[in-house]
Amino acid sequence: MKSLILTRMTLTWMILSSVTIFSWAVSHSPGVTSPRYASVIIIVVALFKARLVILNFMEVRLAPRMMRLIADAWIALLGVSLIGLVQ
Amino acid sequence: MATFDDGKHSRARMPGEVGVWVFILGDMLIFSLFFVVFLFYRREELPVFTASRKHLNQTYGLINTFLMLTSSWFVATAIQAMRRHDSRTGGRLLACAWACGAGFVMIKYLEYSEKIRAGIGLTTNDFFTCYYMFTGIHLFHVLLGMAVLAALISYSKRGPFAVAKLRNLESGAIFWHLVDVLWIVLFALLYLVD
Repeated sequence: MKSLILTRMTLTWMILSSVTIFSWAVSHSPGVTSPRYASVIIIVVALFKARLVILNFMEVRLAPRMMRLIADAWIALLGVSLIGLVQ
Repeated sequence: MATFDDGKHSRARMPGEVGVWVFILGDMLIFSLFFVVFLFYRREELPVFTASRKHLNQTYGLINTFLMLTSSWFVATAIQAMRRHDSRTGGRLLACAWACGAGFVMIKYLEYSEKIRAGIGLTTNDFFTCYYMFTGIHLFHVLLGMAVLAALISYSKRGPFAVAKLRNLESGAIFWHLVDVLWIVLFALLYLVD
């Protein structure tokens, strides 16, 4: 059981949870940064989380290069579109 | 298990079935359109969207995010257990993931009820049209994912482990992770972006 817990999956879950709290704090701390920058930070964190899930939980990390390129292209394209729209 | 990471080696392998990935890519593109549509409308009606966001129950949103992330951990770890031919542990982990999914649905029910009681419906304004439509379509994915998880639990108990069986289990797991990815972005856009 220990070998199932001390894994990359658990580390991924811990990072995902931590950055969720960070994002939440950014959203709920008015005045620390401008709403515009806060929105950009929240979007970047969300896409970072999405990428972690895709690479580690979905195991695209181990998949052929083309799949990783498609995943990264999707994240990059979405990032540019979403950040462009909140600016 | 393949460990090479540079894609040049033949040992790089695609988890799950190709068909599942095609479906997932299609679904991601449709949701990407939702995300862009939401921010486009937000840009047009910023005061309405900013005021409406304040009516969302942030606690429910945050709990649901943790339920989704944790359920994904359960599913990913279940697959690791299945690869060791430990269907007992794998099945239990999948059941825990299913329970997180049920928790998500329950919270969503409470959240929708709260909104409806407050007189906030699908046609209140563009923010809430997006909110109900997108979270509703996502909720449908959660329910579908729970049906998939239930099928995987039963499937994992039947017959010996083989490459094909593991591949099918991986395909179901990938669908559940998709539901997680979509929620991560939805949560950020609907609940957090001010």
